[in-house]
Amino acid sequence: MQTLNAMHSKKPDKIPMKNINETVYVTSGADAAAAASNTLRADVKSLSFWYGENRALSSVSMPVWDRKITALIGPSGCGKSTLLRSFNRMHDLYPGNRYDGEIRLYPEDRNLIEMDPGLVRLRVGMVFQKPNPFPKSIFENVAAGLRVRGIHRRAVLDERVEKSLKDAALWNEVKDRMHDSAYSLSGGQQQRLCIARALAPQPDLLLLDEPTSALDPIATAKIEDLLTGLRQSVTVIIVTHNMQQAARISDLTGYMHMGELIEYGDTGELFTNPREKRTSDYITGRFG
Amino acid sequence: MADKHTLRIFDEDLEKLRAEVIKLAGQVEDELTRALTALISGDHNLAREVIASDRQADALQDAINVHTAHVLARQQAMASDLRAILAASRVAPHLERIGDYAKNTAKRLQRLSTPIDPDMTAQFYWMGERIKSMLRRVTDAYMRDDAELANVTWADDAELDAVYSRLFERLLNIMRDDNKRVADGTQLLFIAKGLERAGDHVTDIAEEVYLMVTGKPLQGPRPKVEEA
Repeated sequence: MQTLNAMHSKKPDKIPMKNINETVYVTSGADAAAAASNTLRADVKSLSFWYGENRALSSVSMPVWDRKITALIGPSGCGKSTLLRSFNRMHDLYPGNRYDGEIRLYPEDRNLIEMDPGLVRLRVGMVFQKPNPFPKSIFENVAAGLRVRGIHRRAVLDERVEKSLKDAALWNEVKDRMHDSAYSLSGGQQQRLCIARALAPQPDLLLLDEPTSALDPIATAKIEDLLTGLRQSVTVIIVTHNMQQAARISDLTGYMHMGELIEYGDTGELFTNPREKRTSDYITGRFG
Repeated sequence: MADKHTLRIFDEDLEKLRAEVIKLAGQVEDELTRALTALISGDHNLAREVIASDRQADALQDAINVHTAHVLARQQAMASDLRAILAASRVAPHLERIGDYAKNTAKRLQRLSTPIDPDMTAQFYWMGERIKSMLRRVTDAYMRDDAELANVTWADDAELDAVYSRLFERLLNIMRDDNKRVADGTQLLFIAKGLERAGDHVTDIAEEVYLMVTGKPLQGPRPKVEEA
């Protein structure tokens, strides 16, 4: 095991053998077959993670297919958010945390865990549970990520902001008040603004950590609809406590429990015929 | 039977649904028993009772339909629970159709001008008993989540088909030899065909039970004998 700083500076001495024996990979569904025929955007390989002395992930291995929605489900404390936040190296913001294993990014086949966290975050967008717009205008919220990347030409900014807002299904609602405060928007609109902000830099991966848990059913439906539309252009990983949401919108689902990925595969297959009793007990409400 | 749900009312909903399907199976078996008794004994009063009692089977199926919709709307069923609900909604129409064949047997026997030949009676009796036996076993398989019993019952239809084929030939020969018996022969052909179809519905139920328990469809062709 290594500290984060050590891992930034050199490669790990030894990557442990991938232990996938505990995870059931469902590959029989038609969608899984379709996914398998596509390309990998990332590949988690024997990833473990510690918050100080507490192990939160235990040798998780999971492919992330390009332009698919992958949902991570599981009870509180199972490690799904920890896994999600590993993709943009958020854990590096706090001392004492450490990783072991790899998240390989494709097509360049680099270990994300060994890359500069700042560079990782330029390529990976993140949306949180509660909408967190900046105290700026609607336009400036979406443009913020572009400015950080050195994009300042007004025409480019205008074009990218409009496209991002359209992709986030918010353009028609805000196009006439782009310079109003983002706080003037409703909760659901603010969350779609945050998605537009994350989309503007055209990320390789879009991470969402329970993005609709603070929203009403209509706002939730709008977010779910836009996410299924985004599948054409971006790879999405979503953590959700709402199993029906995972079933509705994801192509692939992973069930996590106590830091382990118990089962991973085609969403339709996992929710109708899970291979693992632990998965079945959880999704049918027989857990605990 | 699976472990209990955290939400107990979900268990109650599923148990109620399963109980309704089992009750419908019992009702249909009873109809079948009385229809065959009426056929073999030529009891027209009993036949009328069978025809009237089929309304109960229809009402039970309606109740299952309503309850299935309610459970689907109220509970976000997944995995084995979802399969159990779908199985109930798919098994019930098969049971209701078996009840219809019992009712049709009762209706047609009222149109017979003469009693059935004793040796042919034995064949109808055998078919009826076989269907009831298959129905009891598939109901047991449904009650106990027994995929193996469902599989065995599914394959058990072949003998029924064989007896039906022989009966079919026999009735054709009778009608060919004596055209005064064409009217009765036709009624008996329809009764025999109805019993054979009832057997097919039992095998369809077996397929649903197998899918419910295992999550996988029964594979491979069902054993068959020469078709009539």
